[in-house]
Amino acid sequence: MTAKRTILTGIFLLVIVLGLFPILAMIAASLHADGRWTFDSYQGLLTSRREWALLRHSFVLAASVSLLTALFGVPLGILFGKTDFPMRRFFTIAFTVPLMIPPYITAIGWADFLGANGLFAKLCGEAAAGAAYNLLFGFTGCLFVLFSTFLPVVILLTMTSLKSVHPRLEDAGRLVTGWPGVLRRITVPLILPSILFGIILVFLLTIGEFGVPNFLRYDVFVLESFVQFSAFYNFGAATAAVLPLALFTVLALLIEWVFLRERFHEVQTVPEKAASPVIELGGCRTGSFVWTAVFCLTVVALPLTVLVGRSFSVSVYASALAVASDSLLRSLVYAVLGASLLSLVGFFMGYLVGRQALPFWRTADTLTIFLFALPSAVIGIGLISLWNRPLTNFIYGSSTMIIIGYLVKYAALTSRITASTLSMIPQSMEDAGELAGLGWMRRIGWIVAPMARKGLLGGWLVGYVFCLRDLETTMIIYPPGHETLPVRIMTLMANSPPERIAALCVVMACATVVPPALAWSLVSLKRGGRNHETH
Amino acid sequence: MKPIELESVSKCFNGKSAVVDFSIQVEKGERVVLLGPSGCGKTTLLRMLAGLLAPDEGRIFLDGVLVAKSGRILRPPEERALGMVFQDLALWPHLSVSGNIQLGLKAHGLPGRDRALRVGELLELVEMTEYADAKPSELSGGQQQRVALARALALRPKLLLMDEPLSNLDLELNIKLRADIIRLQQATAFTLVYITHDPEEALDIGTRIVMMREGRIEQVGKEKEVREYFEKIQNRARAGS
Repeated sequence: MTAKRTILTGIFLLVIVLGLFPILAMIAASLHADGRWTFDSYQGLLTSRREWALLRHSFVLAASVSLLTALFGVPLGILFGKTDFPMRRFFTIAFTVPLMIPPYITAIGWADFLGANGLFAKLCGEAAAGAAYNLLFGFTGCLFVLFSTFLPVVILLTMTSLKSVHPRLEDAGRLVTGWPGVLRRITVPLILPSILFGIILVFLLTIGEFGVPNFLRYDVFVLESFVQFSAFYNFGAATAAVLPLALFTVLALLIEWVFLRERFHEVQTVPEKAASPVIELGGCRTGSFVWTAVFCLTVVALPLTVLVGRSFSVSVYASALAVASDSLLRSLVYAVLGASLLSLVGFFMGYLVGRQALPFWRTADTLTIFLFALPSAVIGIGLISLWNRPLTNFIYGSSTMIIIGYLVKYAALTSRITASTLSMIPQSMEDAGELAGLGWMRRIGWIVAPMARKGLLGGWLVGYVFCLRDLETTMIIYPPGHETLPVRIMTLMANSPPERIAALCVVMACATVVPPALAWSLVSLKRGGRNHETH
Repeated sequence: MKPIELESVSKCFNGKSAVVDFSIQVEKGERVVLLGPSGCGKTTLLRMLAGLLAPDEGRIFLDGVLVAKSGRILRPPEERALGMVFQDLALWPHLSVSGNIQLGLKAHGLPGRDRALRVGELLELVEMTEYADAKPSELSGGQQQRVALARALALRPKLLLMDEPLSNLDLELNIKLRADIIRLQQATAFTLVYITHDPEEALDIGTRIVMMREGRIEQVGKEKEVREYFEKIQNRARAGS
């Protein structure tokens, strides 16, 4: 067995053991009680009207968020990725911020803004604020907050897929019709699979979202399994309650598999030198800029600014850090560890998928995507089913559980980023190394990894952000004394002053956003310096 | 009124000249071939004619109408009434053969029945009738080439631009398709600007051959001049090695 086959198979098996085994163990555990096999846990499933109502709530919320993100995300993605829109890089980053922080922080910001003592009440009066506040707590609030959170998923996927459309296809269209026609008839149909994939992803992320519906008091199905698990500690019922969500995930991915996967390959690979044509907005430039700026201020800046304003005092931050500095430190350490392991596992999984290195590459890709799309409640309960045994208690009772949770949940991100980076490195680079007598590991270490370093750094940063913001998985599996900052904020919310919660939210947002921003600036600075030297 | 007039057209990319002070007039029904090595500015010139690029300096007239001048496109590509066949053909992969041909007709508001008639005519012209519903990926290189040609002719352009359309085909198919292009040009009487780096192909297709080097016209003529040009290149290459 070659080193390549051994390592890639080993990593694939690791993902199966860490990710798939827990799900199977969870299902097995729910079917086994008092030493016999039984369907008792499932007998009450979906028999009450309440459960059906919760399922309907989840479905309608997820479908509405998906639709809204598509309606706004695709035009914004085209605006930032295809036109001469001013400050498009800034706006792309700005719209991404809500995705980088736990979504319930955005919800807290809105609640603060619309609350009785909030800015909205001062500006528009208490009656209007009361009405808006009531609107926030429920379906509308969940819809709005989750829309602003997942909007960048569609924006970024649209922007990325636009780069994969061969410029000549659009040039050919421009000879017969103007840009609106080219976009409508050529560009958008070509990137439609990516857009639909984004919509499916948003749907699944919304279905599994716990923090926002919990804070905004909107009953959805995922809350049911949390309640069964944490309040009643009814393991079988909790497993049964997450099963419909798992089925939703399987169904959605099946749709993606059957209808979309083959169509991805229709888009031609773009040669590096081919410059994508840019749409000149002309007279629409100012209008679109004003609209986007106002939209960005409302959706992104307002809730965060409110939190900064609410906590604007050194003493508030001092008291906030006094109660949660240990959680902050833990969050940072776990995020760095998680991101590093994710980068390692994601690199090899990405290599397996991107290079189609072994026959099971497609299964590996589907598995990581399945685990990413699966609601965290399913993963969390599954991990406990597998590891909560006398033999493995040393793992179950340690922070390793949290790191495993991150690996299982987010391997798809670093894997897909690596696969996409590798698609830009010709296979011939590796072939040349092989002809020069380099073994696979050396080709990886000396040729592929250095050439893919920018993508690897990007993957690490994405892994860091997602590990740091994670609430749902951590909340279920964290051992006593290992709670992270998002969990700590959530538990403190019930009995802490709003100023302290606001301060912790700001600290959380800064811890998530600042390191990637610094890393990005350093890379840009280094690149700028190198360009300067060559000139 | 000439179909094409270029007056002192220049274009730079990142400070490097691609086309320098290029002037030419093309007569109606002519088959002008731009011949030259890679990077001599042929494609840049064609893209400026199509309206996909603006010249930095100079003026471009199509049918006597000023369509571009000094950094500005006055008439966008879709209003220039020309067809173009790209080097990589650029067939839209999500559309069928007939979908590729009729997209331009649809964009110009032609009613469905007329569109179907026109598509039928064009498919017959390029001998591809039985492939109307096929996707580009299901066709061979030569068949894709014919579809690209039919698509470019869909709006009955008076001017057709072809950017090394046969460069990716084997010699036998290449020679056969040259004959097809000439047949179609004579049947529909469009003016042709054709790019190639192959002197044989240039001699086969062109009624006039413009030999280019480093963004400039080096020589204009027919067989004798092309032979001279070819010898010059060989000498240069030998001197260089």
